[in-house]
Amino acid sequence: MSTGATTDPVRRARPAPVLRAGAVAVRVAPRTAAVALAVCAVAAITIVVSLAVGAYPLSVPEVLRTLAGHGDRAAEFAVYDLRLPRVLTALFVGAAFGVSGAVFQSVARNPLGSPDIIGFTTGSATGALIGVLLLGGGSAVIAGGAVGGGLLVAALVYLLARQHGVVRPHQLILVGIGVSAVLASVNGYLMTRARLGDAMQAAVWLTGSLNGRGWEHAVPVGVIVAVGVPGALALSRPLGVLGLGDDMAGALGVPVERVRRTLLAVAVLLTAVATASAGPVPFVALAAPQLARRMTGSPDANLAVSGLTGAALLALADLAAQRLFAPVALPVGVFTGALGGVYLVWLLAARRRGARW
Amino acid sequence: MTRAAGLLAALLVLLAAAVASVALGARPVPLDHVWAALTAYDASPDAVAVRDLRLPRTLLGIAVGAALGVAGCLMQALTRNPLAEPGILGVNAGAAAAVVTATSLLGLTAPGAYVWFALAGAGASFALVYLLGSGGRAGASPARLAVAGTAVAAALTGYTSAIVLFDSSAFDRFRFWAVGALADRGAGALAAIGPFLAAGLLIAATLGPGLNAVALGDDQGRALGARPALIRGGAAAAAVPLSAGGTAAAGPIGFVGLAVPHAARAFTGPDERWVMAYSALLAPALLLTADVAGRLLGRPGELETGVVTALVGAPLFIVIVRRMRVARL
Amino acid sequence: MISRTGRRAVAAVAGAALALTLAACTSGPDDDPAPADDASRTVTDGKGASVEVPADPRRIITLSEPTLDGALALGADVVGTTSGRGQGGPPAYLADQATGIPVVATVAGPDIEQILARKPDLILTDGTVSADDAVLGKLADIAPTVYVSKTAADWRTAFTALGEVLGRTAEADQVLAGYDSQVAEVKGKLGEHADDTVSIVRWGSGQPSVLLRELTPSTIVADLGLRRPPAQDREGEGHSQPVSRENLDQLDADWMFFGTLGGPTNPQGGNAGAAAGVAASEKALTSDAVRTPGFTELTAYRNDHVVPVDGSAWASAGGPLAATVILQAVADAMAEPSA
Repeated sequence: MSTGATTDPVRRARPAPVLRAGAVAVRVAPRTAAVALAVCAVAAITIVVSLAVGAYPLSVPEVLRTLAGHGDRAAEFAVYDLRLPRVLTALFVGAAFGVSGAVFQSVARNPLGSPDIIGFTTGSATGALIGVLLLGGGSAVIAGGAVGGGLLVAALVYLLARQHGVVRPHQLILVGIGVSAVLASVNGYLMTRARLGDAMQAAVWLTGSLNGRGWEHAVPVGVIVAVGVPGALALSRPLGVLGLGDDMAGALGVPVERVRRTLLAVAVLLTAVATASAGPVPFVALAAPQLARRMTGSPDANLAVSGLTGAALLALADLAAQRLFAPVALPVGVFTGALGGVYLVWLLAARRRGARW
Repeated sequence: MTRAAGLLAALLVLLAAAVASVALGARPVPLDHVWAALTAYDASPDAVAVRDLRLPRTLLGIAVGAALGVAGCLMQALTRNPLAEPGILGVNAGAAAAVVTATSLLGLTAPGAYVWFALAGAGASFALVYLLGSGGRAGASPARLAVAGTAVAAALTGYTSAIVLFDSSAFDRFRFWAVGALADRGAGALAAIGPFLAAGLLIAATLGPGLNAVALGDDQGRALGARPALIRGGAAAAAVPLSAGGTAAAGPIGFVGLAVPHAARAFTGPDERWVMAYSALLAPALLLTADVAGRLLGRPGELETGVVTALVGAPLFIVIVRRMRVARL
Repeated sequence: MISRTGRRAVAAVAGAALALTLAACTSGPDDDPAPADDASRTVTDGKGASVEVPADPRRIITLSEPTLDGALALGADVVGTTSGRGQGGPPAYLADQATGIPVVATVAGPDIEQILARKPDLILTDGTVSADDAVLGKLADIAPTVYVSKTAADWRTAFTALGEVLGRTAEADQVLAGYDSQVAEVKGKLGEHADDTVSIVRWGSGQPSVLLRELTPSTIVADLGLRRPPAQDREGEGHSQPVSRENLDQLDADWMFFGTLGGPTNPQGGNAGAAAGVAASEKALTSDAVRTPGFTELTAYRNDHVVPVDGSAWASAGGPLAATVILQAVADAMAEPSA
């Protein structure tokens, strides 16, 4: 199935300004730029609101005083050590998921494409579960287990799907399904055999949560995003060509297999770091590219807009998950799933006519 | 001819699995006691295990397996998506949300009590997915169906997580329900879902030729005299009771409906009639084999069926996928 | 954990990337949000680390059931606690004693800002809750945070350690002496049942399971000198052991204490514990267990010796209050009427 990866000749024919930054040149349609700006604005507002509200009561003047360096100790702790790193982690993690989702959807040529396809999410879940349930580990062990498990499984799926040096998208998907199914059953087994408390703790991690995320989470994922996203952007031109199909792209002189491998590696890296920081937050990788495509009206999954959308989506979802049912704070994963799902349902219902998925 | 022979072989495999399912279990019962339990029941622990636990469980396994296998065929044909399975079209999520509602908010705790909820939840969410995915004049577009399914599933899963993460007893029930199991569901579950499965299988049996025509694409299908909208509506009408019934009785055993049709296709080629017939036999065989293996491996407890299904089936599935020469999706 | 200065530097760098103006303000006074108490002691926690705690803590947060149980038994001032194993409030068996204590942590983790708002001077946790160490690091910035004991530690050792952390060792000894005398008292009343076998069953939804020797309820039953049926008389893996319904006879004994963590609970709080407890176990027994083929054939059932008990106590990691509930249930069921 090749949805959304085909090019629209009418839209393509329209000349678009080219944005240059050193060696990287990106063609930017005016509507895309406008959408990107709007999404940035949403993210910025989310940051401000996130700093201002929380279970610890702080008035807006108090927050402002704290930001100016004159807050009391508790206020400073709440703003600088709790709220700021948390919202930054949300933005970085969301951006990483958004970009990697866009890559996977293009490479797998399937609107359901996401890191789940190559078993990454279930693999990282298995790694994390082993960390929580068998090694009784702290956050470092869990994160390590998640990244290790995810990478191991992604590599395994890639190798199993590879035949005669070639990986066909549909085989990648099917092998990913098989391997994911095994791991999902292992995960289910671990969940049923663990103590109830451990199992629930693991379930929270598997849902995706930003509770207690601090600078030690925000910084690594921020660095990887800063490195990985431009890398993915630089590769996004051949990505568009890959959407034409392997044969056509090959005829155009694109080293299909190598580009696909590099892109997948970058996407897996982004997913790995994001998952290690916040758990496998559902739906962001799946929804952000879809939303980006809807908003820009472009048939291609624009990596930059996908990343920005993912960032804004996750930060907004975390804010809502914390405050909407106060004093009960939900893990953000509960909310991204529900929010993204309801939005897509609404989109489908509202645009039943003429929508092309 | 070879396809017919293969079908016979599949039937024999299923029979063997059924015999094993009655004879073997977590409790070691000598074979003569097994026979005695079936012919001269005496309420001893051995007899109870064989006649009251294993026999209904085996029948349930056959029914659920056949339902999931055929439902998987229908959904893959319906969506023309290799990812299609009850989970993708929102069935598992709908059943889970309903089960959690029943156990957590309404306090129904016995598995027999929430089968009806699962059935209703699964059916309702599938119906919603189908409605959303089949907008406008074009009828149900495969890709839109898949996106609608994912969207509905995501929303429902969020609801389910929100409930179970704050209610340990509901979570405790949910984690066992969520792996999928044939144990402890009993004859009540089979009686509850039986009519739905029968209806679904009957409808499915009439759809084979139409699905073959539609598989070529709507335009070609129409050229062959098929009515794509009608065929797809029929496929949905069969897939809903099958997948909802199977999931309601045994929990979300996802892999069977996904993988067995692919495996069957490797033997039969793309003819949907054969694919469905093979799946109806091979899926329960896989499910029962996994169930027996789970009982033997998990002694003195059991490994849940859903856990073993993938462990048994997935390696096989990967080998088949690697041997497939071209995409026949 | 990065030092406070380090965090500030990191804050400045990371913040600059996204919000330059915000990050520019990160150089403030360099000290901790929670002021150290005047009088303090140093205790060694369950991981071997030294923690400085107030001599007489007045505002205690308990993040686990055993620490809540123990703190309440010692009459300490608990200003915030956890919602059991995910229920809407504290475990059912503590519902009375814990009335009015706000829930500041769910199984999803402690709500750091709510804990900050409670202004605690001591935070207690242990191995029964597997909290994220990043979260624990944040909590330690709010108030001294003590990991009292590991999961495997038996409840007496854990409770003694808790007494030391709270600076109430004398009271802790007193509570334990009270337990010992209650054990002696119940033991004396068992009469002809003193040598009976006792099965401890947790009726989950997936399948029944039994509590093997190392779990707290088992040790209490052992303290009473009661024996276990052969299938349960062994060490397990630290949690209840599932039993296939085909092997239902493994649940059998002279007596069966039958508990479940069942019943609807209200996720928004309120009287969440009310539906758990004995009533939930009774319901699981009558609506589910007796319908399992073979259950009514069990000796314990035929002798009317299946005792529905409060699963929240009988499945807990334990503490003196849970132990009292368990002893009382055994006494109510098995003691000679005359004694």
